[in-house]
Amino acid sequence: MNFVRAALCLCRPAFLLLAGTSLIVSASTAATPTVGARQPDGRAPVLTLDELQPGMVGEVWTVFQGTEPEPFAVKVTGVIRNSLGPGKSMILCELTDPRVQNMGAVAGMSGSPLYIDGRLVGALSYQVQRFETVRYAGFTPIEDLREVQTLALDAERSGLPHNPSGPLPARAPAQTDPTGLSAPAPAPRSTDARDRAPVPLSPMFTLGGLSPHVAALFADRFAAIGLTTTTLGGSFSPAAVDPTLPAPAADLRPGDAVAAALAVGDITLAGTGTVSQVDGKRVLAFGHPLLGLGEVEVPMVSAEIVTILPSNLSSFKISNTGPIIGTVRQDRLSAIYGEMGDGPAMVPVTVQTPQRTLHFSTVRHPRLTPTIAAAGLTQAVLGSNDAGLTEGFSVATRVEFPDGHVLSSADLFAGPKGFNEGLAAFTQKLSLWLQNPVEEVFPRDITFTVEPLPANPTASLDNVTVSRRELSAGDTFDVTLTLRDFQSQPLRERMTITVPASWAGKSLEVIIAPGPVIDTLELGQDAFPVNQIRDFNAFIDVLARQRRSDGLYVAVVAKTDAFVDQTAVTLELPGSLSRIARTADGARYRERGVRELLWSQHVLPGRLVSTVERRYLKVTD
Amino acid sequence: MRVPFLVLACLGAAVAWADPMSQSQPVDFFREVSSRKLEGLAARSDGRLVAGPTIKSLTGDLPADLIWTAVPRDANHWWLGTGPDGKILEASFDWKAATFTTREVAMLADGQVFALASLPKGRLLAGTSPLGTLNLVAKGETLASIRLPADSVLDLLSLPNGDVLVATGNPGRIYRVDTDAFAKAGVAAETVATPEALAKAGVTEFGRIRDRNVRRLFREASGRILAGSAPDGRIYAFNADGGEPIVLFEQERAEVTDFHLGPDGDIYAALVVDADTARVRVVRAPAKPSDGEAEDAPADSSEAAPAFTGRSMLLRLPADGGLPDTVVARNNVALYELATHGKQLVMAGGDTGELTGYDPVDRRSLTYPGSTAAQVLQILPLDAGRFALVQNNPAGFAILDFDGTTPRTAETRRIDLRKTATLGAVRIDRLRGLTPQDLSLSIRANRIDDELEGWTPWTTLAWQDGGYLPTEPVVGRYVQLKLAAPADTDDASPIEIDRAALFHLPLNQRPRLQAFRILSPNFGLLARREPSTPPSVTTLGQVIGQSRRGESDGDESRSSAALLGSPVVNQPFAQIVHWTVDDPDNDNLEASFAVRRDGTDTWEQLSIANTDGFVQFDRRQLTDGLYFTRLTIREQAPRPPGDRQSVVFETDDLLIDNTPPAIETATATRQGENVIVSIRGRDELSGLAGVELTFNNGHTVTLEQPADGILDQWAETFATEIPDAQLAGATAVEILLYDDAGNHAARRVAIPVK
Repeated sequence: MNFVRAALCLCRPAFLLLAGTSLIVSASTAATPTVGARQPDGRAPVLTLDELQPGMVGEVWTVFQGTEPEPFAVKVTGVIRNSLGPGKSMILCELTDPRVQNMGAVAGMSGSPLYIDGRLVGALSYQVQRFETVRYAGFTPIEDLREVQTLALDAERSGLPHNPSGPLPARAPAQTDPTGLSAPAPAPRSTDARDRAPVPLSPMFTLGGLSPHVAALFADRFAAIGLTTTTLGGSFSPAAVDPTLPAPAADLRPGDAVAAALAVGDITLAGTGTVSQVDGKRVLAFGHPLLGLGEVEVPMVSAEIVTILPSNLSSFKISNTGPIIGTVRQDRLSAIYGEMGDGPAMVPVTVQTPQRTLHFSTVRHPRLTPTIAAAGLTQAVLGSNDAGLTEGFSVATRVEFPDGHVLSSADLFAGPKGFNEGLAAFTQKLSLWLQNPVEEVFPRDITFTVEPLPANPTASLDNVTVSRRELSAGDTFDVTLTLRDFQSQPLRERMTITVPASWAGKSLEVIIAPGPVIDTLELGQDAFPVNQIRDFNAFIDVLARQRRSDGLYVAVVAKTDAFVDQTAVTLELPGSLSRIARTADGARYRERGVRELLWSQHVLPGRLVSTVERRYLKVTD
Repeated sequence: MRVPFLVLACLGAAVAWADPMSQSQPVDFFREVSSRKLEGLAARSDGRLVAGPTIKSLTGDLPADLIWTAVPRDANHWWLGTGPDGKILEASFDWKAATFTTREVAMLADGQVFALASLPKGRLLAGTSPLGTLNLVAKGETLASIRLPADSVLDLLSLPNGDVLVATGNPGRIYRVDTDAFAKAGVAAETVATPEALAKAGVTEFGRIRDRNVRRLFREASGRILAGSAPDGRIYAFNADGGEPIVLFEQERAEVTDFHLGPDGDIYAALVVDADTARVRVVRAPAKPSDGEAEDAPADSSEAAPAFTGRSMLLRLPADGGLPDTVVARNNVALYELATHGKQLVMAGGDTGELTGYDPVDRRSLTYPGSTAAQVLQILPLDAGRFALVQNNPAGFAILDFDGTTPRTAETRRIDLRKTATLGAVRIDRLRGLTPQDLSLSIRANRIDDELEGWTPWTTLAWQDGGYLPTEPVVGRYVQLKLAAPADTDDASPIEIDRAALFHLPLNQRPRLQAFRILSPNFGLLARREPSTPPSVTTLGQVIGQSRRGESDGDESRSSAALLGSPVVNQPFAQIVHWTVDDPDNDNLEASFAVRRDGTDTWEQLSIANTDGFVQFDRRQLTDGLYFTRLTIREQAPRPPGDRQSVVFETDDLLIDNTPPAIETATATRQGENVIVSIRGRDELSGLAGVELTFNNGHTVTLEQPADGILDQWAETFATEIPDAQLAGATAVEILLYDDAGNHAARRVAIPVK
């Protein structure tokens, strides 16, 4: 090392001009640390920013392949003060090691510790430029990394439980941020405007267990949450997380590859970075945020590097992620902080198809959980050769919450193409179920059961006939539906309705529509504002009473007004009571125009019909 | 001016056709005093202030957002049905200290406890919404509970035999509950729908109605049960044993909120009529779809509770079985409950905490001091002259005390005098129960229409010569009066403060000249007669319908219309000058019109004491030249001379030109088959207007365009070419050259022979 420093000290500009290229090459070559060099341990002393001088030469430890960290050389160019915010500086170094000349700063190297004379300086964390002619990288000072650990220790000392309900993030982001994220996440890395600014070496999230086709379907959804995903990566973790089993023992060292996983099991989603510092079971890594969520509970998993994919635009490490070895508890600007040991509570997801069953677990997050769960279901439906679902299939969804609350639904899809078309709506429904805005309650279990259908369930409603429009009490009338199954002959469904005396004097409608449409008409709204729902039971109630989405409902309805207390509907509550309530809490108590269902019947089960038809009836006194 | 006073004397009424300078503004306290500006007084529908109650809020913590019902357990303890957590509370009151405390008695599974009935042995029957449960509670425990086949239990009525009638909403049913049998029914979570299952719980159907909700129940002395409904506002009468009802009354879109046995033995029902506009709909679907069309989305409604814009009715159901009649109707007030105080009915309501009254004997309405809460849901008698109020928004309690000892005060709304005025005396027609010296008045004024800004300080009015006079000058257009009377007076008779009259003198404003026109010369005006003012009052309609001074009665516009409708005729050398003038105070106006030749200092009066709005004069009396005009308009009697205002308007637009233009050349030449007539003329005062050619064969030609096309110079040439065919037999042409003032010069020119 002394030789390296001496050689580089000679590299003054004037001297370079005189000495020419050969000396530079020799200096660079000489700067390459030898493989198998001794790695500073986790207790390495610190070199502060004030002690740092331009021209100093250091070594960065990271895993190029496999699991063994190796050093590569850098030269300190300077410190960019306050470049990441007030008091948050970045160390700029030139990557002098020939092994990184073709790749520059690599996604996955983030967190790689920088040592100078055996003293820990910081962690590789930022790509400074794209297509640079001389490779540079930004490093987060070690003081900033340690600040994150201090935050975690302060939280631990405060006695507050660690994120007791275990969601990610801890502070119910759905109420403050429609994206479900409380802090800006690293942006997608291909934005041109960022080419001239330091870009966090945000981990490339590896999607394991998903076919490229399925991964592509969900890429935009993950990107919307701030995740850049690739299927170039794998997993050797067990298929399911057994919370009763202790996590495998892990012994991380600075420079080791480590990943933060959002899903584990048959479906994995993990971002790989590098350990910056280890203090007992406490681990600092990445040197930048994972998603910028603050206090979190995310599984920390082991990782091995398959290779580094060099690119002038953006190089990244291809990795395999392993079992859970601990929990990431802080996701901050300067680092992530985790503790080796047990993993966090997760949401187990099971997807059963006639051919196989997928098991995986996801982090508790109002947007990630439904997206990952839907991705798993999609993989089961679209991602195998032998699914046998080409004609059509049903998906029974069951979400079990603590305290025994269960939401379930059955959806029909007209084959994989129909599933593709209905995927957005399905994911949206799942998100609605899981994005509970009132309490930190996450599902205990999610199960999808996929059953093939013998024929395409799509049907079209050709005609609706109501035999009489003006009626009296005691009269009967017929509603006849003429429909046509997919590529089949027309068939008729007829029902006879007797007019009860209570309908007398009313103007009514006969509505033929799918269950969700009837739900909307009956409630007067298709969604409840967050501020109207005050407890989890009300949230579950409104979701649980949704009608079947298959077939059609034939309903006789009357227009009326409804008083809505959260999700409880009372038709035409006396105005004096309604006014008092609505004056007291206009968000919780509302008045709406709704349809009162006087009579209804579910017909054509097992078919997909999207038509809505309406006929008017008048019942005379 | 004298004739009207004669008429006034003849009719013996306050009739004054001539506009007086000072005016009086009647002050009807019933109309001008809002409930929240009353303390110890009430405003009566005859416009008087009378003795009224005071309101004192009780302090205490209430662990519920809403109080739906209160049932006295004893004098100082009430059961409360609350929402939205289904709590039944016991409230303990210290009426003297105006405080209360609460404790939770039970928490029911359903959220809103709309109805309570106190039963013997400390038991309590509670009805809820939105699950429509009926609960029997004792010692903090729910002994029995069933879910009725309805959404809401809206009212409970205890019967002499211990049974309770239960009124439900959606559907509208009345159930009879045998409370002893019900106590043994246990707790059932599911809806009990069949008559058999209900009967097992001691519940039988008493009656049913077609309207959605049985809102209120009442038992007459005869045992007949009245049921008020919503939303069709029907009053049903059931026999004591139930069964099919008869309908006594119906008011669409209404809710029967209460029944009450009045002090006169009649039954009174409070109804609230919902205005269609009360719920502001935001309809997404623009129009009703035709058959087969699907609506995009159901109609939505606005979320926040809008201001109540419906009305309330107090309906009297005569004890003798006569037809119901409406005795009180109030807009924008929702009545909730009725009580009796002496010979008055006290009506509690909302949605701005209104408390009103009705005197069935004198048939007069009263406005009492309003509550600070938005709704007064219940009014429960405490002792003689005192009531306890159950309020919501905010939820709490207050005492309504008709025997309060605090000073009685009232403050009017802003009274618009229509014009800024100097305020004079306030005269009150009659005072009962207090002397003029007992009553203290103060007044303040504002020149602008603003609630807060621009007000003068309150100025005391001193009793003097039968009226209350400001102790210092007060000027303004908007006025507020404040009255204060002692709680107790020496006079034994009840306090009555009659309607008042506020005298004021509107500030005199200058007349405003609206238009001034100097018409083209040589027109004379045959002025049409203006509609005459009736010389005397001859009809009752004139007495009743006469307009007050200052109100726009159209006189000015009629006068103006009469003048504009006057015919005009050609009248050489005549000159009309017309103006329109307006006086905001309707003062009588006179005008004088004078002219002054440019360059001189002497004004020559052409008209004085002119009330016509125009002047017409002979231009020949003035020598040629440009003149200044001066119109002076002055206010006249009855405005005192020292107060009269005037407006002067001067222009230099009057041009007198009595000199004809000069014809410099005039020729008629032949060119082929045409005759060319060419005239060159000059006029250096008013300019040339045109040429008229009259041939001696009768053919005439008028030329208004000069040869160069622009009539813009003092000297112009006019020329025209006339075919021979039109001049057959003509040998000469008479040329008349006109200037703009109507003067002309003439010349005869021979036509060359062909």
